[in-house]
Amino acid sequence: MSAATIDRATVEDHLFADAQLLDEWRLQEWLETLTQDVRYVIPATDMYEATPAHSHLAIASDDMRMLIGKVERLLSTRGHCEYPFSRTRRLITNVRIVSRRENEIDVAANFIVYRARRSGWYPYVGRYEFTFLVLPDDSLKTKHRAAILDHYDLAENGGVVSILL
Amino acid sequence: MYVKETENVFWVRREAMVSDEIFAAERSAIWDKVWLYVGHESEVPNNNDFQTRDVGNRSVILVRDGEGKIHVHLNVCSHRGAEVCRQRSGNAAAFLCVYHAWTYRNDGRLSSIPGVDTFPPNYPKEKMGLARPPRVETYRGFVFLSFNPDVPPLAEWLGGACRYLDLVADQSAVPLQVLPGTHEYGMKANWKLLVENSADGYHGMPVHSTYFDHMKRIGDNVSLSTRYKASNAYDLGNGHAISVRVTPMSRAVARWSPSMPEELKPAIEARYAGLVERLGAEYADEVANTDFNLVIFPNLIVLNAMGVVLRTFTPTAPDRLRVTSWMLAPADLSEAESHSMIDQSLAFFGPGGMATPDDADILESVQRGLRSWREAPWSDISKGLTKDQPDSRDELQMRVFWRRYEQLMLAQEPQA
Repeated sequence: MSAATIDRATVEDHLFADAQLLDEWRLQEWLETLTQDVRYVIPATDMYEATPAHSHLAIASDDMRMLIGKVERLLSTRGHCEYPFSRTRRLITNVRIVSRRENEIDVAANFIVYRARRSGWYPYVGRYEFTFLVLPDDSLKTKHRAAILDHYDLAENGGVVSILL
Repeated sequence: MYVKETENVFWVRREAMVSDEIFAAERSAIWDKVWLYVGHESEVPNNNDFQTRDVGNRSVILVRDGEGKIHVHLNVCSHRGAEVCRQRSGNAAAFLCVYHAWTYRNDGRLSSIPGVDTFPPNYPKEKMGLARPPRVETYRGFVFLSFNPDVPPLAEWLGGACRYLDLVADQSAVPLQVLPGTHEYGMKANWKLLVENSADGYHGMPVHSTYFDHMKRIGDNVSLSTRYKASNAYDLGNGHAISVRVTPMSRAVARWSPSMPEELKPAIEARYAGLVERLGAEYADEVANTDFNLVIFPNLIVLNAMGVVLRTFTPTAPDRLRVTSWMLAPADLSEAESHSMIDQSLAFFGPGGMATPDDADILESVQRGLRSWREAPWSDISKGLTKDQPDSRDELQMRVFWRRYEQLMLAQEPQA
């Protein structure tokens, strides 16, 4: 297989494994699934439609440097909002390969990420836009990950996106 | 009584954070008496641009009319009370109420009533325009309203805070603009806890050490204890207060630091040189190097550090608030400059930052703790109480807020 022939089931398996790493807080392993030039984006809730430009305020617009910082923070005992760790459960559905290039594919999917804390359940609902680099051994590396929230705002949702989506 | 001072201890009454009665009393004693921030002129850059938002528990429309004049209308139809504009933002010459199709020009005048011929003769259509808050004034692009017709003029009310809004507005020869993209989040906490937190330098290291670790890792040692040049807190009058400091953090205007891309250094140095040329060396230094957390009573926070963050919030219950925040930046920043500025700001601020979520978590924890207000009725904000010049890690900022709160709340209570 290659970017031209990789099938949806393979991509779905990858997304399920990715969700497992995040749900199990294996965040250092998760970092290894990203390319060095990765961009991780959560657009602002009032800029719902598109991936924001670098000159737009987003909820997250992270490069590898920032993601390393967030992962180290989340795994420390001093990331108060996530210590003790939230319990999370990611449901990934409606997976589609939307375009293919020489060694890359664009993938769309829908998600619900449930986050449970002592104070209650906090669901995050939205869709993903991914760009994956397809390596010669058919493994995938994430080059672009946008989690586009459907929430009108985050006021009723625990307010924060303290976990990785 | 909401505060008391006894033997060098400054106490705050915790019931004020949990009581439904006090929350209701605040509506008329605080929110209906003061100036409230609505938005920035740059949010309606073109004629007929509008924004809707909640201010002081009312739905309002901030709009620039066809001649370029800015208005704030109450978003309520004169006929039967529906909101006449139900979009978050847009561009419209008229607002059409969807209930009975009354139509208003964006300057507030009523332009048409379907079936007007069946209303009584001489129906006073010209008096049926959109209602307005009694006072709307602007300072350096910041638009405020007041529901109190007798409130002093805005600039007088802002008092000592004007100087710091000037430091923001003078950053650039071209106008500042609110960047596209809004942080809209919330906390299960009393609004006054966020006021206290927003200018509290004391909690920085205990709560935000993961952020400082990150900054150190990427090249900026922002250890608060060793790198401060000047770090003071000031009472600005009328309940406004500020904590001021000079830090080694980056700033697009205009302070390069090692955590920023090396290739931005010439542009940021040129920006500083531009400030010196336009403002003189002394004021340029102040504009570029004064970091501050400004509290404009009761609910506008201006955070001027890695960039300018405007934060306002609206309580919806004693233990609930909605927060809205924006970034404000010179309109002529290059894509690379604004990228770096936003990157640095997002590392700390916002619902996905490394700091704001922890603040929210702690404030919610405080709110849960305060359920014990009957047994443990007072909080302490005494740090620096007897100092001649408290610093930004003291608690003067909170005492200034609470003294003003006390004054306004007691002014409303019937005298015994």
